[in-house]
Amino acid sequence: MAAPYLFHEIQPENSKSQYTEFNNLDFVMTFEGRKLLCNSVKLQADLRITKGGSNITDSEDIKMDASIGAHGVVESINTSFQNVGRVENLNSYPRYVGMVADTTTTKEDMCNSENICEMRAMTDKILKVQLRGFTTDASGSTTNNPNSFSIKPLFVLNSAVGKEDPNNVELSFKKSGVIRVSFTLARVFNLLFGNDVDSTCSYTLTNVRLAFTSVPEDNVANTLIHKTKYHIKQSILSSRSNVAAQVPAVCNAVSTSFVRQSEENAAIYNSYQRQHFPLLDQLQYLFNNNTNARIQYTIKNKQDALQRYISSFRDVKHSQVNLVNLSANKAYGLGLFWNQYVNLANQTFNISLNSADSTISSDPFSIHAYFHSVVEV
Amino acid sequence: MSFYTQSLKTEIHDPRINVKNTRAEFRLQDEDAVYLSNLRLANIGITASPDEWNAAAGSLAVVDSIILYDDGTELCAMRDFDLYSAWKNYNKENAANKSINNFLVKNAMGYEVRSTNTSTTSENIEPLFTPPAYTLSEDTTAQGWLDLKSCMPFLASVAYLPQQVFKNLRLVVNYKAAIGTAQNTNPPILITDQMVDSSQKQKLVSAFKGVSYVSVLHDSFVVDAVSGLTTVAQTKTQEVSKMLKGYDNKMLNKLLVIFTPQTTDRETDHLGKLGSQMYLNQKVNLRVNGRNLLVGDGYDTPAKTLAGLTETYGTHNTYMNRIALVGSASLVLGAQPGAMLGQQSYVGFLVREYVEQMELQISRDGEYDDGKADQKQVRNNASFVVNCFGECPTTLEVQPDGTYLIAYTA
Repeated sequence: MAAPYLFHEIQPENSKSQYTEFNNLDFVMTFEGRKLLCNSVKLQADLRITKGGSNITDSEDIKMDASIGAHGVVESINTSFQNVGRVENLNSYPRYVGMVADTTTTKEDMCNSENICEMRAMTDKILKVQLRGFTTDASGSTTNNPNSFSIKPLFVLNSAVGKEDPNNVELSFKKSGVIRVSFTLARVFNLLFGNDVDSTCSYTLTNVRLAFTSVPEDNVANTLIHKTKYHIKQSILSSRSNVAAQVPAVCNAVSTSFVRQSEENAAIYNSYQRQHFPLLDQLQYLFNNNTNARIQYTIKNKQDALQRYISSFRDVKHSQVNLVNLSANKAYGLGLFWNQYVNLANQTFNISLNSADSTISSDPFSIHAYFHSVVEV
Repeated sequence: MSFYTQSLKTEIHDPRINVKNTRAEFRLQDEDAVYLSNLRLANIGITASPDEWNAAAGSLAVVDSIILYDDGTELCAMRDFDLYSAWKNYNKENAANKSINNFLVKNAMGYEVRSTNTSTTSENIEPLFTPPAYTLSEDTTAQGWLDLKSCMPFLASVAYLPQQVFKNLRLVVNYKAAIGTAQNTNPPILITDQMVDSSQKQKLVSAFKGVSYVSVLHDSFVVDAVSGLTTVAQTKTQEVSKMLKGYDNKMLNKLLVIFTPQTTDRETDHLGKLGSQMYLNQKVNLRVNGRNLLVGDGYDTPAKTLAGLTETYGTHNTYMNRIALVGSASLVLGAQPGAMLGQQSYVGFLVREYVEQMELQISRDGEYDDGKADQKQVRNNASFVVNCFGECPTTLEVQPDGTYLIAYTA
């Protein structure tokens, strides 16, 4: 009799002893004669951070974003099914994780096990202390083990819902064929930030595995709906900007966040910051360059704009979008939930921003927009 | 809509037998009664020389086992209850521990960040409350409250307990005798809800045909200390593989593994014996019916272990997952979280198989401690007890003559 649950672990196709920035991790998932249990895919590895070839010390200010944790090592995820083709190409992945954390969790939630095993923490400083590795409490111990992590990437295979039965998230191998998942590792200056981050800093991943669970093929046909994301990045070069996007998908929401371009991909600064877009006077969401039925007015109220950002993910009445974080230039974003799926392949979607801040032209922003779509398999 | 209506009556029962530091027994013997299964125990605690309750188990640390009988038939039982309840409290979200559970069981889990605005301890993880204390006075000692559904899956599965079927219900609470110095257990009370609407009662009784639930079965073995550590900085790997016979010929859904320390210093350390010790380079795998459940070494990193536990049993309340920090732990950890570090490393396996033979494979590295004369008493080297709690599906089926059969589901 086939085992009811099989817990798979696979190594990258391009197997190496260790991986670092810009490397690709290509995983080939085969589960012939079985069904993949979606929402069970985990990327597991050991993470070592060094400066000048040595482990970092108490006095060095080298941090990771605590809301993102080890998700920060992955810059992009590309997923394709042998029988379907490419189903998702998700760029600027850590920022998306940070935005989800901002809108659906609180700091206290970072003391829950599903976040701790992903190397998330309540604050950046708490995570900073952990980055030195871990040891034992034996007197004279020289042990310094790397931090291990087990992340559940927020990508197409981990966002499935059954169409007939929402809890049936089994994906038959007959339907998908071999699944290829490629992770591109983030640059050091994106993963790490802090006053002591410089070109001598690096990180390595060892014992890298992709883990997933499968169940026996029962020859019962089912349909899965996977949430997918489309990422678009544009520059905001002046205080009056229009961001136009055409997305080859049917979408029901867009979520955006901002970061100063001078602080992106640069040492010292957190590239994944969700910064405040300063002095926003007016915000308009337009389809085909016209205001339409989805939102008929110009948003001038900050609370309205933020509430729509939270709703663009899912309003769980539980977020880090609060006065403390906003005043610290964190956890800010804009977004819109359309209440229905809209085909954006044939029309342009525009975000019109008016700001009273005159520094934008000299110190421009990047806007990262994630369009929420679905794919049926 | 309110849960309580005119058709429900809440009753408080005193124990029929109460032997201090030994046991308390409640009897429900009203032949027409239909009790809801939401039985609650209150006033669980002791009077003793003042000290803090265990930070994980709280006042439930004084309970050794809880057993529900119908006459002489054991309907459900939770043995090693103190150990299990410490994990049950850990098996909650941080928010739930902070806002509810602390007050109910009198423990000290549920964490937050506190800033002291000094350069050395700028942001510390601290529990919201320090562990409440037991005292010499019944008026001031901290006493706990327990929903029996949370630890007895039979009660969680059955909606009500008709006394026409279960004619002589007895709830027995056995105590630990030496939690506090000069200890005396307080008499607990049992709170029940009873149906009073007779037509509704008759409907419920005639509809009761049985129940499917999981029995939590306990098994354990001892892992010896790591021997042969004689020189500074020496490490030595210990590998152990032992059979677990307690689940043979039963369907096993999930297995919780707890490593209970046996060194004298760990027994009196923060969580005492009520945590689960993390060992250096610990690897744990389960072999079921001749097949390794997990690939390779199984749970071979702290993160994999915690992720596996979370997938098997849901969210747990933790703040860090390691034996010790490199550098000063006091930079980010308050006194209690610092002392508890590495003491809540539980292991969970999702099995879902009929077990004919099962063995647990454990590997760890012993490490020489130049501050200790006896290397077998060092945290990483000492012997420990492997306590396993397995969930086995069980059915209770009411027969046409009104009797019932309890059997493990194949």
